Amino acid sequence: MLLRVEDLVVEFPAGRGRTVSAVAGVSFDVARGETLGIVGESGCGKSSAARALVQLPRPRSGSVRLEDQELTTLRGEALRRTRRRLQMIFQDPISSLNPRRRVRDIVGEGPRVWNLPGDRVDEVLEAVGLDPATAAVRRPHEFSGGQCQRVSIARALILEPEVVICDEPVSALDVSVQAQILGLLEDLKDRYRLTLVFIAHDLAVVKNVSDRILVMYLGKVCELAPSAELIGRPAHPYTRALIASIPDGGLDLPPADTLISGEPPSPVEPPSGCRFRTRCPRARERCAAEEPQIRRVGQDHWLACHFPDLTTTD
Amino acid sequence: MRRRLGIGFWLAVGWIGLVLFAALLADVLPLARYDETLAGPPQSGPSLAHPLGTDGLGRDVLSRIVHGARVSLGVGVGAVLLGLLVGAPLGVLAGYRRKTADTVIMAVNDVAQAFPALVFALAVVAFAGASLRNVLIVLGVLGVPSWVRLIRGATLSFADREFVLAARVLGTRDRRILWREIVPNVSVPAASYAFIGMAVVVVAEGSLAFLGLSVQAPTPTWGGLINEGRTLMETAPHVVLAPSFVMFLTVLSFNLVGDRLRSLSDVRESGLEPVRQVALTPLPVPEHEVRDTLLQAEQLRCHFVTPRGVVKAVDGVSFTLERGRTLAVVGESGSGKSMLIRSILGLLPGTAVRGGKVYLSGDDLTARTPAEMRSVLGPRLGTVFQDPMTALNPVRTIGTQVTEPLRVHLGMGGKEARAEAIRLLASVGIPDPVRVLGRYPHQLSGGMRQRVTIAMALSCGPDVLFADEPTTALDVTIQDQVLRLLHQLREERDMAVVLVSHDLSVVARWADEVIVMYAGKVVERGPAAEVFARPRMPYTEALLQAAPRLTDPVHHRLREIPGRPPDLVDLPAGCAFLPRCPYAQERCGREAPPLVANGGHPYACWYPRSSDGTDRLVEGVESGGR
Repeated sequence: MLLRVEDLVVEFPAGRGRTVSAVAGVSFDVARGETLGIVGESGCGKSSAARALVQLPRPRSGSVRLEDQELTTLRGEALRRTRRRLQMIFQDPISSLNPRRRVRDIVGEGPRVWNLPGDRVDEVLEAVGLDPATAAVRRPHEFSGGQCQRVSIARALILEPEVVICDEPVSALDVSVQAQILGLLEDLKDRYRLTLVFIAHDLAVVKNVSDRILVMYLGKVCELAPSAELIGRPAHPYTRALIASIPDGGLDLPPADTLISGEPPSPVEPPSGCRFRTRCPRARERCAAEEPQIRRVGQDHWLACHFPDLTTTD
Repeated sequence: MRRRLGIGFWLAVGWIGLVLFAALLADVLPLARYDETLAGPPQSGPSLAHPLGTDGLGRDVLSRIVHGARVSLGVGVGAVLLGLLVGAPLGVLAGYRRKTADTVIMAVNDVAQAFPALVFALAVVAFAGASLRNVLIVLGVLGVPSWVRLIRGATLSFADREFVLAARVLGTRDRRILWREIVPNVSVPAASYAFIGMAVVVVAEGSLAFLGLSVQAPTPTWGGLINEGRTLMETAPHVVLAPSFVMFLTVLSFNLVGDRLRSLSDVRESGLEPVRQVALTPLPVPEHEVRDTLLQAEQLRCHFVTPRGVVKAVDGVSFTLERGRTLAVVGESGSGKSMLIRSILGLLPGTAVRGGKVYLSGDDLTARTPAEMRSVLGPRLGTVFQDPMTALNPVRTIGTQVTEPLRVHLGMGGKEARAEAIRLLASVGIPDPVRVLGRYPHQLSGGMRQRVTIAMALSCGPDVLFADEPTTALDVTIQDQVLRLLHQLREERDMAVVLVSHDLSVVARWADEVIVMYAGKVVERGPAAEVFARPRMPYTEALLQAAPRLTDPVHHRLREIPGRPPDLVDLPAGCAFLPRCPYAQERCGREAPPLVANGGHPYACWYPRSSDGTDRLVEGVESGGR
């Protein structure tokens, strides 16, 4: 496994001595060349998990291993040396580029930091579909959102990373531009032999690019399975509700309002036991008393639920 | 595009340059000596030899003002630089490092700021002596707390941006991040504040000099000149007025330059900001018949006049809508779908030019004044917008906001309105409505807030509900709840709904009819099921194939629409979709296709996709286009 995450915990202070439990013990691994999708609604901790992978900020506890290197215990210069291998793309195409710098400097920053020859700037700009002759001298505000996202991708790619973490890379874009960027990511993945961690709230987008999908709810893993399996045979009540909430989801699920109710609880005081139980129609006493542990229910299909709906699983 | 700084800015820069130039070259310029008494007759007015006259001792006023500028500008520039040199590093440190550094620096800073500045200045100058150096240091030190505060705030706002995080992920060291990513961004507000700071210091120095606590005579200072001339107010007012006016102009110029620089750091202009001065002649309305239907839009237009040209945000949109139906308006950003809604409601910015007609049950809404529209907005037309937080007033309780339309439009009393508000909140699925009445918007979740705005839109029983991207800011499970609610309310109240959305799957699920917009025009229109199953216009087809669906196989290659939406100022002559269309032919560049129905639903295309979907398989998606 190229990237192995075990029992990742991320917490933030929430004032008055309380803490927000953003990520509460998440484990997964990513094989070389694979795309792992992470999906969940706002506040489920998917972005916090992504940032904990690059140690910005460092997780409260848990382990993040890049091949044989444990990242969570590295400090200072040793941690900095691992940066080239792990790059990141962000959601907001405007905010992720420094408005005062030209595209050539933004993309060329990586090589300059690492004292590498900067002659690859044109090559990566071309690879992400920008014309180096006209694009390189311009500043971010002269580009559309989709083009800015291409610049961000070029900045990440120039260091030839092994893993690229994409944190909602297309959710700020229009449908037609979103398709361009998704297609570009697939092309670049083949060309540069990348491993992707693709985070988004849109299940259809995640399914389009991911080999496996991890569903998160309130800092916990609900379900992890190969994409087709997860969408075709969802077992966790939350996954089923998520799919049913999407119009034209394809599966013959009951209406979403019978699968989920109410609103997500506060991550400052998460429910006892299973965190989804307050919105789950299948919840029983055991769900409040005992936290469901993640277990295997099928070939590479993992699940954390006491009373999963296995009717669609054969 | 270069920003216009305006003539005022350049006049101000010119004046500062002139004063600076005169101060620097005071000894070389052909001026009388500033301390030469009886250079001319005492208290004489302006003359050729003494352009600004002479003072009580017959000294040349112009020369004294020019030499006084040395002190004023010297102290101004020096004190600001001193404040900047001390304050900026502390501010950057506090804003970037945060935690302990921030706490300590800001605690000390707050104490320093609480110190009475004038008393401090008076005390220091009185004890240490009134020299140029002392005045400069006192005013400089007094400016430090403001500098720390400003630079820290600017640093904080940029340190949170994702480009700083991206730099760290690249492995950039802190020092380089500070110099390359933070400092260039902080320098613009800093430069702006420096100019405003100089104005403050020039005034402060003038005040000290007036009190006799700045540089001592015989060195002239502006404040000192005003003080000296005070006694001559009656006989020779020019002795006071000349330095006062110079000081006033200088302070004004510093402020002007500072303000313009600050506006530079604001959002970049795109050249599409409407021009303010424009003759609002309404656009002509073509012949049409008024139909017997709930809502009818006829050739609706909305244009903006901008420095780059006329933006046709909405360009000739017509439709009709019956009770109990949902009409969806679909399009990408910039297609004009939100402006269409605002045109119907008459809620356009003052710079927009509207054309066409809107009829509500045969009643012409475009003939109404904004005041007359108020009796329609609310009682007959309800609105729900994308961001419920902007639609709700953050400092008023939900109760006062929900009851307001009931009191204003329906004339209910307090008790009655409250009871009705509780009923409304319950009807939109808010648990415990009595408690929610006393809450403020920020205390509710996004989904609950949107339910409140829906309750408000419904409070007066509208005939048509306009929902502009009502669920875009919400999570998918909440989105489903809200759309389900809108649908159920439409059934219960026999309303019509106009739903604006960029999400095709939402539209396909919840709309009866759909309008597809591109570059301000309707390019396809018809029953939602039919348009989505058999799109005729290539743009609709491309949009449908570009959107990922759960039912697609994994790693399914989505249709990519090349290029980007057109520039609304510079539309191509023929079809606006031409540059991105794989099926375009020569005719498309010559004539814009009209919206016509050839035996099916209307579309605007010369070479439409076949109505049975056969050519889609033959020609494939990849053919041409790029």
